[in-house]
Amino acid sequence: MKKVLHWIVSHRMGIALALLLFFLLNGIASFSDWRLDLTEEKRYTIDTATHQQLKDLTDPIEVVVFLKGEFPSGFKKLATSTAKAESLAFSLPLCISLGGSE
Amino acid sequence: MWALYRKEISQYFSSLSGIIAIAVFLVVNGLVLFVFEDNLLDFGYATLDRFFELSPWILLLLIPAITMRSFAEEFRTGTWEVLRSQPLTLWQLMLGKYLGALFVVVIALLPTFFYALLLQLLSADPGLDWGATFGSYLGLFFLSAVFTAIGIWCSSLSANTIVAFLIALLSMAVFYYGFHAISLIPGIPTGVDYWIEWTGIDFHYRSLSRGLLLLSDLVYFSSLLFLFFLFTLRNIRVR
Repeated sequence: MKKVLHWIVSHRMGIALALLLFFLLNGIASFSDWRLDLTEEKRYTIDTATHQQLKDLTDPIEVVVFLKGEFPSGFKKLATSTAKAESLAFSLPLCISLGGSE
Repeated sequence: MWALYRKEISQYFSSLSGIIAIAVFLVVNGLVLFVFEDNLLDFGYATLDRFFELSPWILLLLIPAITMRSFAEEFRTGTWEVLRSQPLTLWQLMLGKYLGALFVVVIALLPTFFYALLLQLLSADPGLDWGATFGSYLGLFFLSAVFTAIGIWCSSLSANTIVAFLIALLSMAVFYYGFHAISLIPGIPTGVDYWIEWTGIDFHYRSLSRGLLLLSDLVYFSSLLFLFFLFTLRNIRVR
């Protein structure tokens, strides 16, 4: 460990090695899904009951979000992130679409 | 090392630069969050989200001002030679400088706890979500720790404090916002844009500031901190 550090600090190619180690370490860490939800109402944790309910589904779900047209920037943000979720949901039995009048 | 740490702190507070940095941070925050139009109280919800969105931008300007002198001034005045002849390793020299600067930043952040207390006292029954607020403060602390490390690194690049300030400002902006902005450029393939955004601080700060503590974010912040320590060591070693 000490040798590696010394090499990084003193050798010409040390920066490259340091960057490599940085991305390697973070690549490994990105596989872990350990998380701590600090919010009081556990806003970012899916409840076990919800898990069970989702497991018991047989048909695909269709979600229509009515968010089309001219909005203030906050809602526009919501509309764009919904549109993003639309493209992310391909692996799930889920169909999200933006509805409403232009 | 602790002697150097104490010397750094006393230097920040005897030359007023530390006090002014803290005062500017608190005044700007106080004005935007409680006095100007569209402030926290108009918002109607007991949440400090606005504070945690605004603070990184103020810190972006203040931390370079705090850290710009740490090595650059030593190089310019030649006191670096004296410091180098002390029985301290390069690690100790750098950590002393780093912790001294970080102390000033933390002192600036501490009084903002009053905002949280104020919102709690003003709000209706359930009040502030203290868990989420704690997470947000943790995020802000990690952010300032990384910003300070970047600032120290930039200070070790040159003997000119203004150059150190400007480079620090630029590299912090690139790390905080730049990678996020690049990932939004149309034409960058999906997948690649995710990893570009991942490299930036904002990506990890956002989940922390909502009160969600992820192991991968902790690893990101600590390894980025360590990376800039190593870069700094490389620079001061050849001086």
